[in-house]
Amino acid sequence: MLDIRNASFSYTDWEDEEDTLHTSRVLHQVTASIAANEFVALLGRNGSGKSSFTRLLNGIELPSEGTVQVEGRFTHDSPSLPLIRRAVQIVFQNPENQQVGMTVGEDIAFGLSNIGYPQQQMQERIAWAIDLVGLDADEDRPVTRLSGGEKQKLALASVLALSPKYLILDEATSMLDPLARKQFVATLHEARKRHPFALIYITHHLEEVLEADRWVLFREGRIHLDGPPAQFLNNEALLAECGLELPYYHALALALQAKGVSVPASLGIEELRDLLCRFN
Amino acid sequence: MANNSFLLFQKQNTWLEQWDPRMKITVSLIFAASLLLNHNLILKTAQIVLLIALWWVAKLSWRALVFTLLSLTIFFISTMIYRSMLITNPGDTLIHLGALTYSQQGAIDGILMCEQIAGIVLLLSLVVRTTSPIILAEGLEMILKPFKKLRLPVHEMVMMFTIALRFLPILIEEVDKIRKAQMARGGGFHRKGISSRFRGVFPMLMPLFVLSILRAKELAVAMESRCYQGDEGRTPIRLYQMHRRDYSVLAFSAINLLLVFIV
Repeated sequence: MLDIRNASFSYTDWEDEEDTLHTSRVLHQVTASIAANEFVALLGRNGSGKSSFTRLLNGIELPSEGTVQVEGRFTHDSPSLPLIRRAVQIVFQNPENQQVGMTVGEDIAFGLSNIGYPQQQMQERIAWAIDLVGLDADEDRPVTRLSGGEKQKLALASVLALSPKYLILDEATSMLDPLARKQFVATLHEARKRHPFALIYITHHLEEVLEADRWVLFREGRIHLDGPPAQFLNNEALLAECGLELPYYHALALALQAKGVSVPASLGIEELRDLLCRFN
Repeated sequence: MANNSFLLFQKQNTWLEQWDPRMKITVSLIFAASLLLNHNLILKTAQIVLLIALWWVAKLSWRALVFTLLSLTIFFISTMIYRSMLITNPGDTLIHLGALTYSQQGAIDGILMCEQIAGIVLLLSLVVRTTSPIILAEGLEMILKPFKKLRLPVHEMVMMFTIALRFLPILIEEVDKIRKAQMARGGGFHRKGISSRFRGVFPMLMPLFVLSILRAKELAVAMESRCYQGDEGRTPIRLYQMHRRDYSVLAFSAINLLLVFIV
């Protein structure tokens, strides 16, 4: 269980005009918990505090107020940090900025080496991770020869090799083209079936998180709304205020509802197609 | 996107790639010493031929070899002019070739110096192109291990070196992007004339510096979140063992150094 209690977080920055140190608060008294194997989507505008929130979860940043607990260990307790980081892994937006190795194998081995994984079993584990994410490359392939989608799959393989209990995806699909994005999301869910872990997914593309257990909407450093997706799908205005757009088929279902047609907003693309065909 | 792959190590599964990295670094240092100490034209030429033969054995691109040597042209020309035309010692045989006058011994010294420059660059190039930076770094770390007792941050230095190599092609790509973005806005890099091209470099430095810092920051966060905390508790990615092949190469390089003193 990830447990965040009244956590606040501030950045200290130089104020250019006045040449003084300025503190900007990006998280205000946030309280939330994430259970094992849960799928939680973090939504909100850029700068609303989603990424800062996830950085608190694996102790990369420490809260200025409040506490963060991972499986009963506090992130401000330094000796616990290696175990916390092993349990909570992050895949970042730009795959190039998180790859340390020159080849696929070396990059996966980097994390394994850091946690003191037995050297004799390392090759086996690398092959397991490559297979888990369905990366079509052997371990000797240079990372410079991978496509954008493959690089992100490698980033995923590198963190999954460490068997995290919680995986955070910080806009991990934002640099991918639509096809690569779909493939990446499918790979992720396939990997979750084979090796269950809680998924904390930051995105601006709602169609990627329709299957989530919960959506958590951040607004100005606070959790504005936390609940199942159905609670959000009828509230297009709120989503629009937070810079989010419903998938077109949900927006169409809502438009039909507004015209008095009895259509549930949570209708899937195929169900909506069948319904429209019946009207025809 | 610029194709910088020829600047980097590409796995080819050749004989040279199988050498133990500790031995490869040691042999390179011995060979570099023999190149620097050697003043015999025939022996130095033989050393260069040996390096070119190793290039062929390593299945490296001939285009890369030509590119490497051509990039040294300015050093070759200036060395030859300086050695053979500007410096003449009493008793030197002077040769007149049209308007040019040069010393015979100076020309030989110039060729030796050019071979020395080419040899060192080819040797470094061979090592970098036939060894994965991570393996090279691990080899370097093993060699420098005794210095850890003197509290020298060997692991950190080697990690910095590895990451610098890893990010080199990305930085080259970044330079290309910034250059094109500035050219699209009328920047001076594409204009004719060395001075305007030179001036065009400066506006590229600041965005490149800022981008490098941002990348470094993101990489540091990513490394830390993947449980990196220095060399404490790390297991080696590979286990290295010296083979008969490695000892033979080491013996050969020692003989090569010995020959320099004998000849």
